[in-house]
Amino acid sequence: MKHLNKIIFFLLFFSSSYFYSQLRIEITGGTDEPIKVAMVPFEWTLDLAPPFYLHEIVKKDLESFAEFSVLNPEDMLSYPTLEEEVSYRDWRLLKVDYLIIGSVLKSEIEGEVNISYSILDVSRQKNVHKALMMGSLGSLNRIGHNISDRIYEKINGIPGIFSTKIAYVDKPVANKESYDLRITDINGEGDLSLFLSSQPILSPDWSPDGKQIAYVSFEEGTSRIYIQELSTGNRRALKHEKGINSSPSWSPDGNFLTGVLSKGGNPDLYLYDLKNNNWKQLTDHYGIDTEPDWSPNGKSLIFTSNRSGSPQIYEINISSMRVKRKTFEGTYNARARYLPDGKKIIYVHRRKGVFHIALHNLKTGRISILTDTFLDESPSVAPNGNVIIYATKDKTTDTDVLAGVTINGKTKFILPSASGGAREPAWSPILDKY
Amino acid sequence: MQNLFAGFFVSLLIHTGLVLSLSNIFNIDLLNFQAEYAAPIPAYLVFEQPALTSKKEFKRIVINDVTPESKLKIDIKEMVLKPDQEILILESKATKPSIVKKNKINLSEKNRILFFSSIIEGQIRTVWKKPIVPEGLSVELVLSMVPTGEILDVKIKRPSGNEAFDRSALIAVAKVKKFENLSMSAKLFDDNFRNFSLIFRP
Repeated sequence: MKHLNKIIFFLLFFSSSYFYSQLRIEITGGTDEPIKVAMVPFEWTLDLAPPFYLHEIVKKDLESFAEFSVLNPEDMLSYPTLEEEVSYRDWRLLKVDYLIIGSVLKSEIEGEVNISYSILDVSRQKNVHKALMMGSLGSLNRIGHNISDRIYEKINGIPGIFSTKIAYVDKPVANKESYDLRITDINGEGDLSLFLSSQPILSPDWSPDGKQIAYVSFEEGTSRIYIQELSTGNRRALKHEKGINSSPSWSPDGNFLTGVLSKGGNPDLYLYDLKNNNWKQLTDHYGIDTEPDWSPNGKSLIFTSNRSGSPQIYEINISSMRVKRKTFEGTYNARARYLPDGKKIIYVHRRKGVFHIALHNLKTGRISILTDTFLDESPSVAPNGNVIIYATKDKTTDTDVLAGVTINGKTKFILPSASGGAREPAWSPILDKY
Repeated sequence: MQNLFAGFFVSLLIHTGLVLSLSNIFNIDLLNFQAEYAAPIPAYLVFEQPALTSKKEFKRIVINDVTPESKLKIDIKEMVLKPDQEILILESKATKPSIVKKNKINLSEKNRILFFSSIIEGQIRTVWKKPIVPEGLSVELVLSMVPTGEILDVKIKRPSGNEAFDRSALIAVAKVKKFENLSMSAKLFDDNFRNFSLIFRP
């Protein structure tokens, strides 16, 4: 009977593929040309002059990772603000894929503006997205980044990251006794200090809601994990255990932190319950276990361990506590971070004596080196999974800088640091979720 | 009892064989044929100067072995194919541009479909700007075309689940608007190209 089932299934399967005979042509590659966007300067009906031009903010944002090319207003043939005024033929001639038009209008509320805009698909002459936003004139800059995020998501299919922030530790070259935990917008604006100390600060990590940052501070002479609220600046310390207290990492639901404690004699992974304020041991091995990171689904952790003799990446399943080695290539693999899809990880990989950031596909085992700088460390992934930021050494100036690379390895950039000592970057989650 | 069972088994065998052959499962050619044109065609087509081939009114196609880096490229300017025209296919290595083998063959229907499919693929490929989307997506569109190559209608048959990715495929088709150089016999067109599927993968 079993076999009969199989035969019938086999029969159905093949007969269906036979009777279904429509021609199918597969397209697996496209052009490498960036998507061409034109953003017409928004109509401005306020009495005072605009403090920022939205189209300039959006152009700078969209072009930052070389995925888009944005048409200059000088090259446009007309400046429509309404869909009815759009002559699609003109924009097709300019080879524009998407056209963005809109206006900034006076609001009845003092100091507020109403912004409306549309994203138009030029080749199909269709309105793809229409939005109305309200905001204060003072936050026009932020509104601009927010519009960039929406355009990016509508066109590219993954969230935009132009409103996200990066936390990092600044250790100025000039002042060796100063450690500064700072956050900055990804375009380098709005850089501000969160916590200043004369003792080392390490491993900042954002809470999943983006409202708090956990980090390690040596202010009491020994390492201890703190949580700081961004809106108030209030700090609270986690329960301190004897020895090392390091590498905090938030669970995706925000209820737990993993950390590394050495109270058992050597560093092991522990789980901290933020409601009950207690530690629970996760790994127990005579080797060093450190640098944990949660999988996006919250079911497992990856961490660095030297249990095999050299630092390698391991994964532990939280419910079964089973540990599996993930990296086998090379003698140094450390500081792993999951990508948002949970199927790939990035880590510091040593090849020919040089430390690089590597991308590792957990399914296929394929490893690709993303960076060509040297001494690359502590990579952190953007919440859309498309960009990685890491700390590296700028050879020309011999300073510590933050550098970025897109996941396809094609676009690289450096965030220059004024003090010459930026380290330990941590990318925030999506903050202004609309 | 044993005889009954054996009888049942033999009858099952015969009937299965009968049904299988009726459903054309043993026609290996056909299965291959479907598998082949579903896959992208790794061909590099170059058209020689007409002067070289002017003795007979043949068009010459040189199919180079493809290295993984090289992309499908069709020089559509040189290509004027009449329905059921005889085509000379010359094979050569990518490293050796000279002609290696001369096989005069009539293009079978299968090869004709492959040929015109690759023309369609090439024209879509040059205008498709795929967005940065998660891996493993695919969208299937169904196109209705008239013999001039003009696209009358396009519908999403199987969406990818990612709106931006689906739209990028629709935009590519909208940009092409009309496929060029698809002169083929009315029968070939009606059987295969009046309605066909395009599958887009990143």
